[in-house]
Amino acid sequence: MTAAQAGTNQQVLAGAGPAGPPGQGGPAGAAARTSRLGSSSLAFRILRQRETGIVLVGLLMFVVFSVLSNGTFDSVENWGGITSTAAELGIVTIGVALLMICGEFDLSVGANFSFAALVMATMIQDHYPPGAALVVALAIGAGIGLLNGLVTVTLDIPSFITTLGAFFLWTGVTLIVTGGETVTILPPTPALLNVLGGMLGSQIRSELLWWLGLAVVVGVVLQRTVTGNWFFAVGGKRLAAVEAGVPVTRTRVLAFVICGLFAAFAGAVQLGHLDSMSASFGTTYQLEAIAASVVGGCALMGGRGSMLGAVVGTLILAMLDSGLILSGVSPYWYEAVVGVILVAAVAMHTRVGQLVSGAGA
Amino acid sequence: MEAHGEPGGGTNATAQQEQAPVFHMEKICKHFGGVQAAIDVSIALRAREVVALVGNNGAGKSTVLRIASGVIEPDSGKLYLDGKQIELHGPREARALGMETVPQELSLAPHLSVAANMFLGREVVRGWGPLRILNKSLMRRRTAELIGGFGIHIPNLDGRVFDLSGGQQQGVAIGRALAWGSRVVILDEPTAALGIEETARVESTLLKMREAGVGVLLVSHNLDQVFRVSDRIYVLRRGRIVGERMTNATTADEIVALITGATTGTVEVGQSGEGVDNGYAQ
Repeated sequence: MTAAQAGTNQQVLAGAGPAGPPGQGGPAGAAARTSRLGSSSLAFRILRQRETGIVLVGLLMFVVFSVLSNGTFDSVENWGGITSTAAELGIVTIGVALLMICGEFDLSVGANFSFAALVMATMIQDHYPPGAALVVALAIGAGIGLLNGLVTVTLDIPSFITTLGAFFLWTGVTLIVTGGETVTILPPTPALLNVLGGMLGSQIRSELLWWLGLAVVVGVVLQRTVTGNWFFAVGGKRLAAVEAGVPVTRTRVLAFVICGLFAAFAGAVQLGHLDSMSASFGTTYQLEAIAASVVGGCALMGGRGSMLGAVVGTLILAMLDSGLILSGVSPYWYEAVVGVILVAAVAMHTRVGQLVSGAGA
Repeated sequence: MEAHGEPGGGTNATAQQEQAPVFHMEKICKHFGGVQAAIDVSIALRAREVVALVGNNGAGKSTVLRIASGVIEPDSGKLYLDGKQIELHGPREARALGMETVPQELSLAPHLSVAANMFLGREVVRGWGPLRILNKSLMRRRTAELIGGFGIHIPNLDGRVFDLSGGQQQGVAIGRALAWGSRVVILDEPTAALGIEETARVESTLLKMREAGVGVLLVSHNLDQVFRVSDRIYVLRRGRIVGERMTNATTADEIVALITGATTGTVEVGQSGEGVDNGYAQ
């Protein structure tokens, strides 16, 4: 294998061609060496993945709750409920995790969720076409994300602050507009709401498919596209991305828009599930979504994370919610246990990382 | 292809006297607030040449380097590439012209793989329209060839840069500059954080770079290193070029004297800036 056979990029060839030393130790030798190492260390690479540990924790939790609940936890009925709870938080978490990979926070997703879904509910109540109401809700979500992104990059303030401000702003706007009332959509329920969050068969809601489907799509974008590559680069080391010619500002704003879009879509899905919406429904989502992302391996400072982690992290929180109740523990313990799990998960990610990569940590 | 240049400093310098510079800075001035960071700085860099830029902290080395790599724009003065005047508005434009910089602060994305870093901002994709997917296997294969071709050894190209040693990370950064810098490679203290063996490896890579026909501009505090690898040395003091020497025709003592201003150099220039821009031959 020589540089000339490798590909079409003229610049690479221009740089590399003349320099390849003749004989041993050349490009072919290096390629063979690396591929041999790559295949022999498959087990090592699986261990190195941050997700491996948290998947094991999730499985352990499943077993413990199944035993403690005398078989009610692992019933199909209960998993219908767990996955439904998880799906709504999970869709928010997809966007939040992607944004965290890009090195930013969004504390306004809960307010965005409620506001977008309330506008959608009100429009459906006022007999606008449900499809148009959904489009407006998604536009609101993307718009709130765009505003978060533009304010953050143009005023150069931390997104923690920008979106904390946005959280109060949109919570306030939602309360002003609705007066704190719950908006309920009376039957007959539009078909669109059933597509978003209705029952599929007897146990599973369609929102589960939306959640997992979107997680797969975003996962592919993160791992297999240029834009995904850029999210990791911008979050990992912004200066490096700037110097490599990555359009950093555009990439950051895009991440905010996607995050806002997913928050609004999660609101629409919950509206499809409950047929009603209130300003208070989304209020805990920003912190839960960040907790789920971090439990799933997203680095607080950006550059690391995955959709598998975001899904498993969300599932762990949802299992906890249901498992505590079914094990006869007061549901008030939920928050307390989430706090402990959050810290323990980060400690685990850090320790495992240090053990596996040796001095590199 | 067989390599041309001979390793070791300055052996083919005479032949280069007639050769036109590949990159040329002419009477560059830059001030920050009231501080004159660069005053009438003129530097020429030829293909197949390692030029060192030395000076104390605050002498203006970083300013000159950042102007050359397009990070900041000069207040006045001109830049030439292959004899043609160029203007650089940002590092991206410099890169597009085949001028690569390895900054002192490593500019790698820590959680991306070696291959992904190699192609960061220049990713190779396959597919059509919005369904374009990264061609990871091609980028990985080419990274192995490029890195191996320059004698840089990285054990696992799929591993994160974060898990590599400092020397290996520097190897990736330099490998990337080599791969894309077809005309000029600028290095800012490339071995400042490295051990002896890793330093030796970077230096041999630097000489390979020269053999490949690239003009290399090196900033280093390490005078031993400057004498090991460079063909020519420019000395900066208080924003001005105060001396320019062929490496094989000077001594460390003379360079130190120029850096500190302890004795008056034989070519004390910079009062007017005249005589610097075409004064390589002393």
